[in-house]
Amino acid sequence: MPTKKDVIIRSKEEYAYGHIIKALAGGLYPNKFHVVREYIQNAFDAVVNWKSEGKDKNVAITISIQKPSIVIHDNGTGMDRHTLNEYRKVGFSKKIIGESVGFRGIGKLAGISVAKKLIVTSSPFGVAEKYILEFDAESMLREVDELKKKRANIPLSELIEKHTKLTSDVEDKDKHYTMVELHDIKPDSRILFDKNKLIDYISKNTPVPFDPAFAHAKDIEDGIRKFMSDYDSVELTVDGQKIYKLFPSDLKAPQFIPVPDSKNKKQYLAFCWYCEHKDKGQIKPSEARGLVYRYKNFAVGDNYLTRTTIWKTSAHLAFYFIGEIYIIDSSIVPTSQRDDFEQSTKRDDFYKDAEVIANQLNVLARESSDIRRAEDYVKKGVDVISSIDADIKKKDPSLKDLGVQKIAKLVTVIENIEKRKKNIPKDDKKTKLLADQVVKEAKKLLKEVEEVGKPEKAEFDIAKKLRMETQAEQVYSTAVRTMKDFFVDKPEILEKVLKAFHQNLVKIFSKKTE
Amino acid sequence: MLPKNYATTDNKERVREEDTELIKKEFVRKKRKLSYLGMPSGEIRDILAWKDYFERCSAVEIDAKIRSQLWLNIINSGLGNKVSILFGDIEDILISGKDGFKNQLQFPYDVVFLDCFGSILYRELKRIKAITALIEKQRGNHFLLLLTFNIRERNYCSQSIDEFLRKLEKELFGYYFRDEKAKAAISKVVDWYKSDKTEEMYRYKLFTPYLIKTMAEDRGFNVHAYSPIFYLGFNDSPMIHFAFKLVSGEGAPTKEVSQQTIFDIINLNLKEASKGRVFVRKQQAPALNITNV
Repeated sequence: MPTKKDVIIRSKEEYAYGHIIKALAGGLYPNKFHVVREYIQNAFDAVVNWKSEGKDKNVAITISIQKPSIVIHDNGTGMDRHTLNEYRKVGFSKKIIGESVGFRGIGKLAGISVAKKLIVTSSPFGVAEKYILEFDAESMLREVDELKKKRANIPLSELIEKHTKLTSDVEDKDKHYTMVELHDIKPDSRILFDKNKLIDYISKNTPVPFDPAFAHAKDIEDGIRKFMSDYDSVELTVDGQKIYKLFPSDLKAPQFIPVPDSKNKKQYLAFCWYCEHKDKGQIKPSEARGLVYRYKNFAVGDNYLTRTTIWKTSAHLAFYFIGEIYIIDSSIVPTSQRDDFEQSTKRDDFYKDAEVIANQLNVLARESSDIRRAEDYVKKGVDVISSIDADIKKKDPSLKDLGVQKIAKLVTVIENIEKRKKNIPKDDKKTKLLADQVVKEAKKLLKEVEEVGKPEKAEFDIAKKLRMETQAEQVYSTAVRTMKDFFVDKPEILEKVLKAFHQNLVKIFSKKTE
Repeated sequence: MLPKNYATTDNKERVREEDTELIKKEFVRKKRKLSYLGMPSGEIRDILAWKDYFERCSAVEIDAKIRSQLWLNIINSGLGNKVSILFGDIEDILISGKDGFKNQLQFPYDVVFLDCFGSILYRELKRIKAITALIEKQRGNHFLLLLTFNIRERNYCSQSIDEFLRKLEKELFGYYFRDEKAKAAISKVVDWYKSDKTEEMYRYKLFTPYLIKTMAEDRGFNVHAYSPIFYLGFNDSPMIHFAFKLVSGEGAPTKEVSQQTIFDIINLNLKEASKGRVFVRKQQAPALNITNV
């Protein structure tokens, strides 16, 4: 135990040095668009706070590509001088986990990884001033590099103090906003100027509203709000274009699956909505299918994260659906890169509990597949019946020669429908009725074809025609039966073989007679 | 171009009102909303004053912080869809038609307002080159050219002004090469402009319209210069404001001859904006009226 004498009080000891800035500027954001998302998060928090204060609901986030800059503006709460000054404090945040989207106090400086300068201008409501913080990342990083060459270090606080400037100016006291300018985007980050890519990223990853043209938008939002009182979205524009969450149109009505906490059934961990593909197979395009986790309506990971975390079997079936899984439990926290949730027992428990979604969707996908197959057989049956019925009506001569083939087709129709009729949903009376009619009609046609074709009779006719002796006739019948057994699945081959067999018999018996 | 935190003054507001009348006329004449190229600075007062007449605006700004404020005010005013910003030096942008980040100027413009530090002869004639490039790119399109200069003592290449006055004198002699009385009258006026006692604003009043007229006529424009307005701007900085109507001649791209003659240009009155009104100054440069010689 240290004695009083051992305690050394260092009055001005530094614990963080300038190279941290270098790490922040370089390594945290391999995907440059994540940087924009960080500022959208802050803007979203400001907008939500403004709305929660019961003030004007007409708030929005505006993003502009103004080369060489990207500008993110919101008319949320705005920041006073003191709060804006906290921008300079790395890792400092007063935001509470679960209440706000951001909470680490690092994302606010994300801009220094893509821009040479960060200019933040903010004005809170009721204050006739605006505050401007300039963060000269380029000169800051240059100084760190120069010091490194000299094997010298500069305390982080001194470095930031030296290269940032907080000023104020007059402003209309009714104005409330924050504008972040990522000024002079670095050459390796100019992908941010690609408007289409930026819009695509924002549409998929941020809390923009559902596309008003998406037929199920209202039902889904109503469903989400029943489980999540704090669900919110924000109007967001990029260069004047409103951005929405986009979904394909060929989707069935939305369904919902709440995920209860297995350790406390009264609590919910998450809430899922999904829509199933109307057509068979996986949804296209590939990037717009599957389920995506959302934390405070921001995406966490992509459509493959849900596939790999909650689908234990038949993962390909995940892409038969489209949807979102909203995290309700605030102790399940996304990583700073928002590519997954932070590793914790809670997260692992959540993934396990959320398997209920995958299990339910797998069953549904298979059921749908069965239903679709049954419906397909009924449709196919209708085609077969129509075609054979037409042949009979016009007394098609092929019925004589290909009768076996047609019989086989009708038998297959009857068998397939009777086998899968149970898969047709009970409420789909129309298909059920059609299935019954097809079977009935197929059986009726079967008799007619047998009557017209009479293949067995034809065999005996040949036996009689060739005046076979009893023994030869027995051999002939045995041969025909064997062939029928052998080619039961290939009636068209049977027909050909029988025809050839008959022709040969005619030749042989004719010579014998001569 | 302008001092940072440049703030408006009552005088500047009065000058803006004069311009508003010209812009309104242009709006009525063209029967459509106009396009604007200018340097509105962070406060975007010009854009706010004229936004109802404008369909699209290109704003040029060189200072990163002011540019940020400029965009902030544009968004806060709901004008984000109308305005694009070019970042850099106005002369470079006018010469190349784009900034260093490939943001393009969208020629032609109906109103061009260059709010510059120093005179038209400033920066070793780079400004002349830039305005020439502007007029060239506007060729065939009527437009209103507004220029404001911060007057500084001899804030131009002295050789250029001497050369200009010599050239002017020679040109005027050309009209009256056998009339010694007229030549003497011309020399008297030119000498007045050469004199160190002559206030700088008068020299600006003479050479700015003359140069614009020459440059624009060479590019097929019929030029009309309005009386320039002198005023004291922010921190009592002496300012001079010009307005020109450039009408694309019938025969463009050939050289055009303006109805307003060189003598009209020399005899343009200098106005002043002060104490909430615009008036013709009592003191004027000597008129050049050959018929009275």
